[in-house]
Amino acid sequence: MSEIHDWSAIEIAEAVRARKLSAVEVLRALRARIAEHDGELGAFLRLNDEAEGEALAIDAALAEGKDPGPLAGVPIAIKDNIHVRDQITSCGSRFLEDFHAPFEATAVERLRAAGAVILGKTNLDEFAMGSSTENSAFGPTRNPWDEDRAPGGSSGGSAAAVAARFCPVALGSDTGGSIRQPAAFCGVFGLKPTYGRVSRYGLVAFGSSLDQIGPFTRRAADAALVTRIMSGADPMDSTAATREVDDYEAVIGQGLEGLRIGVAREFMDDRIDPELRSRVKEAIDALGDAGAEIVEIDLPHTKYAIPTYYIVATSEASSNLARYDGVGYGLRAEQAKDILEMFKKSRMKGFGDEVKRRIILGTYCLSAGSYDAFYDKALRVRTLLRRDFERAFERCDLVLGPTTPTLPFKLGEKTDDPIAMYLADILTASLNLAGLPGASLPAGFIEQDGKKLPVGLQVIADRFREDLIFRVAAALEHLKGFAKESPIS
Amino acid sequence: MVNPDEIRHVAHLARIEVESDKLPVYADQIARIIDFVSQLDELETDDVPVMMHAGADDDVFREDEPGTCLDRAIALRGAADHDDEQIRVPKTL
Repeated sequence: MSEIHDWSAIEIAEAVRARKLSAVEVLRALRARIAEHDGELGAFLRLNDEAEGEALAIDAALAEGKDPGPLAGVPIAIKDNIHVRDQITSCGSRFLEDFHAPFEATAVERLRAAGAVILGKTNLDEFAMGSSTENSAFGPTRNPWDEDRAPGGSSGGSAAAVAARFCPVALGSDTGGSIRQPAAFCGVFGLKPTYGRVSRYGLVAFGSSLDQIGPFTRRAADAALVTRIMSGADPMDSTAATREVDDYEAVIGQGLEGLRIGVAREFMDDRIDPELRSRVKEAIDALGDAGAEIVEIDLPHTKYAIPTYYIVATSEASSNLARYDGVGYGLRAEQAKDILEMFKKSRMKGFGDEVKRRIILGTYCLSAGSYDAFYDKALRVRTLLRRDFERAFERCDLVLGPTTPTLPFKLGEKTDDPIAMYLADILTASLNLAGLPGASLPAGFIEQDGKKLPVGLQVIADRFREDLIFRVAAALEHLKGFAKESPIS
Repeated sequence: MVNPDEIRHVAHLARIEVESDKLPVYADQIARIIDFVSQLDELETDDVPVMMHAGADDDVFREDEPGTCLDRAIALRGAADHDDEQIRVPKTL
């Protein structure tokens, strides 16, 4: 008999709805596990004090014969740059460490309406800027598979929480790989939906044309359910697509016959760790053996994705983060002689090094004399990256490859070299630039220093074709068992 | 190509105070990043249109009707210094 922390969201909701188990029992079981293990990992920044009350309300509704919804009593963790009403949204920054969200993110509101219980807020790189969760002002999160290694980032806390079985589902945000790269490093499923599929209302903005909220899970079916619930038009976000949401759960178990999978040569070249590459190839071959047709494709501008991304993302960030001025909310430096000094000192005190570096870089790229050479140029290359994918999807339904160029790296290994850290997103950033959906799927392990380290397989679809991603994820889960191993007993 | 004085100027535009001893560090890092991103110059892009956004091509419209908005007391509670109605700041002129 498996324990509650091993259960999927769907299993928990079924048991709670059938009143075989109360929502409060589920919550207490997971909180006990967090209390035992999160001291070492640091996945959570804060637990939700109201969670027990929320679970009691679910149980009370069931006692009255009401159905709380398909996520009845499922504890969900939320990255700390997504608003949960009246709770702190720190963004991993000193600037916002006492900031209480005055409203709730649409994604969170929709999960709650489906019966979810908010478990707590998870650690992240400050303002989601990083690939290791080491840029958090509140200390790093550790990888549950090897505590000397990074969990990836920026949504490292959410990925580690799902991998460590603190919760079946956690939300992250992805601007250049911040869901998929930590999902790969922690051996769980992580999806960045199509730009506009999930409302960004209540997600603290980093790069507005790139940001998306998405789920981490250990089961493909859980991700399909949660994504369907969160998706859809939102009057609070004009970029949320009005297009109807597909029934993602319907494709689970459909098999791979008739699917054409493209393997990008540029995703499998010498820049990628050879052992990791061969593990990814094994997973792709398994999908081929199960009925998918495998074809080779080219994405010729891939090497320009990171330079393009770091111009576009920092330019947008320099504008978005102008709001942190110490006036309406957040940290304010004391004893400034005038308002300009207050702005400058508040931002100096409140922001960490990486955030300052990116704001300065973005401001530089947008400043007179640099705009055409950098920002305008990057927006044109962005078109070329998008065209690469448009051409690829004329030849195949999905593009597959590794999620990351390396296995999880050691904590501290890349903190002094910004460019080395940026290259962790070499295979993920182009999707954000093109607006495409992509997921990282657990594709096995490689043993190093006596530790099993997870490998991620990235599955990329055309816009609004999340259904194909879930179809492949469910098939691979069926073939390989997916995230059935736990890093913590 | 990027010197400490330039960083001081850009940091001023970005309204961030940078300690003097940090200026050369940022100058060196930003110079290396600029050098790295300059590989985009290898591409001929004069005839390629810019892509500002990855979203839907259609604008979303709604009626301009008054509705409820954030309560003033809630909006003020995050400010470091405020009275019952307004946020207080140091002198602006």
